[in-house]
Amino acid sequence: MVLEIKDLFVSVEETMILQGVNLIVKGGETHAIMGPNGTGKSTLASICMGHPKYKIVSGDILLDGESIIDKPVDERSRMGIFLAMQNPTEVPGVTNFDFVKAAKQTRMEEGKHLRVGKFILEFEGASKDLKMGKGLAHRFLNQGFSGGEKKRNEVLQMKLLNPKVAFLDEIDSGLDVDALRIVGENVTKMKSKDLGLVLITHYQRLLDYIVPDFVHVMINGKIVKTGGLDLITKIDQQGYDWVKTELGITDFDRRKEPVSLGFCATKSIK
Amino acid sequence: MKIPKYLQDKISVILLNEKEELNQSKYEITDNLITLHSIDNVYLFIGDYHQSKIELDILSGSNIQLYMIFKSSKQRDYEFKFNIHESAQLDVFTDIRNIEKVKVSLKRIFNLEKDSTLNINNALLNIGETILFDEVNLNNEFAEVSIDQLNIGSYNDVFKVNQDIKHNAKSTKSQINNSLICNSTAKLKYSVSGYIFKGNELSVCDQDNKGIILSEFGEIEVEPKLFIDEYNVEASHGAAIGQIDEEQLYYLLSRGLSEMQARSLIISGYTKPFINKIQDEDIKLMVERQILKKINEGDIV
Ligand SMILES: Nc1ncnc2c1ncn2[C@@H]1O[C@H](COP(=O)(O)OP(=O)(O)OP(=O)(O)O)[C@@H](O)[C@H]1O
Ligand SMILES: [Mg+2]
Repeated sequence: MVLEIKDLFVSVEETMILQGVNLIVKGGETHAIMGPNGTGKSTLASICMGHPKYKIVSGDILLDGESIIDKPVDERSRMGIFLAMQNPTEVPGVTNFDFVKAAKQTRMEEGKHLRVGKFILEFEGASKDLKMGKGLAHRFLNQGFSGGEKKRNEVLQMKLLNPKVAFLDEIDSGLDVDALRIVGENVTKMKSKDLGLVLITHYQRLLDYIVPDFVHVMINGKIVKTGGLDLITKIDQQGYDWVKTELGITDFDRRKEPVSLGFCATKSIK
Repeated sequence: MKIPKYLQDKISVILLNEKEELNQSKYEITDNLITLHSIDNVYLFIGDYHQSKIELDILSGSNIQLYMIFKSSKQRDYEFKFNIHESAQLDVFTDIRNIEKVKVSLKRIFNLEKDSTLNINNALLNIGETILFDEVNLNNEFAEVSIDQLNIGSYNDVFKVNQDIKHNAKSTKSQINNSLICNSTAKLKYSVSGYIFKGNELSVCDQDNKGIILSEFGEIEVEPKLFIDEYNVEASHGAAIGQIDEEQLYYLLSRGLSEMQARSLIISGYTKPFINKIQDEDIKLMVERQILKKINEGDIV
C-alpha cells in the first residue's frame, strides 16, 4: 500500500487551508503529524476521506498509484482508507452494532454474506480488547458516549474494518491514562506491513505507545519539517516557536486572500 | 365479516365494522361504552363503523394494553373518550391503516384520575388525509402521560395533528416524542401544546419533535407551545426539523456504506425506537412492513 499526497492545495469556504502538502505513506509505516491548532491537520485527514466541505484547488491524492480525488467517500472507505475522527458524529436511533455490521458487510465479496454469529464474537472480542463494557453493541452510535468512549469506538471500528491506511485524528484527546494505554496497545497490535498509519496529535504521550517512524510538523497548511522521535521531545518541551524561527515563518503569511483592515482603512494587498 | 389474520389468535378482540359488532372478549359494550378491567391485552378493530362516538372506561387498578386499529375505506369522523380511573394503567397503541385515499378524522379525549398512567403510541402510516386530535387531561395528582408518535407522509398525504396536554393537578407529568418523516409533496402539520395551570406545582411537561424532510416540496410544520402559569414546574420543548444531517451521512459513508444504505439507516434511526416499543410481536411485524412499504412507496431513499 502506498498513499501519495502530491502538492495539495485545499480550501474551505474560499479560505485556502492546505498550501502545498506532500506526503508519502507506505504500508508498515507510522507517521505522526504535529502542529499548532488550526494549521490544517484535520483538513488533511478529511480531504483524504473525501469530506464534501473541503475543495481541492490543485494537487492529487493517489492510493496505490490511482487517483482517488474523484471517488466518493464510501468508495474510498471500501478501498481501505479509514479516518478516526477528531469529533465522531452521533447518530441517534442507529445501534452501534447494526452500523458496524453494515459497514463490514460492504466489504464482503459479491454474493457472499457476513456470518453474523461469527461477527458478533468478533465485535465482542474487539470491545473487550478496548475495555468498552457490555452494553455498547446496543447503544445508539456515539450518542451520549463520553469523549473517551467515542475515541475507543473509532478504534473498535478500525479493528473490525481492517483498513490499509488509517488516519487517527487526536485519538488521544479525552482519554484517561489507562484508556490511552489500551488504545495505544490496540493500535500497535494492528501494525503490519499492510497498514499505513497517520497519527495526528499534540502530545508525546500517545507516541510513547504508538511509536512513529516519521514525525512531521505542519504549520500554516504545509509540512515544514520532518524528522524522527527527537522532534517530538523537542516540540513537547519547547512548542513550535523554534521551528518558525528556524524556518523564518511568520504568522501572517497564511492566507492568500486580501486582508481587510477594517472600516475606512485601505486593504493590504499581498 | 372476518377477523383479520393477525388478530385471529388473540383472546380479547372487539370488531366494530360498518353496522356490525363482533365481540370476542369478556367486556360488555352498552350504549357505545366499553368497560375494560383487570390485566389484559385488548384488540379493538374499527373499520368504517357507523357510530362515531365511543367511550371507554378503564377501571381502577387495571392494566390494559389496548391496540386500536383503524381501517377505513370511506370518510370517517370518530370521537373517543377514555376515562382512566385511579391507579389504572392504559397503554394505547394506535395504527391507522387505510389503504384507500380517504379522509379520516379522529378525536380522542383522555381523562386521567389520580395515580393513573397513560402511554400512547401512535403509528400514522396511512395514506390520504388524516386529522388527529389527542387531548389529555391530567385531572388528579400523579397522573402521567407519555406519547410516542411516528408519522410518515409520502405522495400528497396530509396529516394535521393536535396534541393538547392539560395539567389540571399538582405533580402531574407529560412527555411527548414525535418522529416525523416527510417525502414527495406530503404535508405534516403539528400543533403540540402543554398547559400547566396555576397552582399545579411540581408538574413536568416535556415535548420533543424531530422531523426529516426528504424531498424538495415536502413540508413539516411543528408549533410547539407551552402555556405555563406556575413557577415550580419543569417544562421544555424542542423541535429539530430538517433534511438528513450531512455530518451523519458523511460519517456512515466514511465507513463504506453507500449513500442509499446510509440514508435508510438514518431513517431507520427515526423508526426503530418506535418499533421497539411495540409489545405485540404480530403488530410489530405488521408495522415494520407498513413502514417499509410507506418508505419504498414514496421513494424515500
Ligand atoms: N467551514 C469552515 N470555514 C472557514 N474556516 C474553516 C472551516 N472549517 C475549518 N476552517 C479553518 O481551517 C483551519 C484548519 O482547521 P483544521 O481543523 O484542519 O485544524 P487542525 O490543525 O486540525 O487544528 P486542531 O489542532 O485545533 O485540531 C482552521 O483555521 C479552521 O478555523
Ligand atoms: Mg484537528
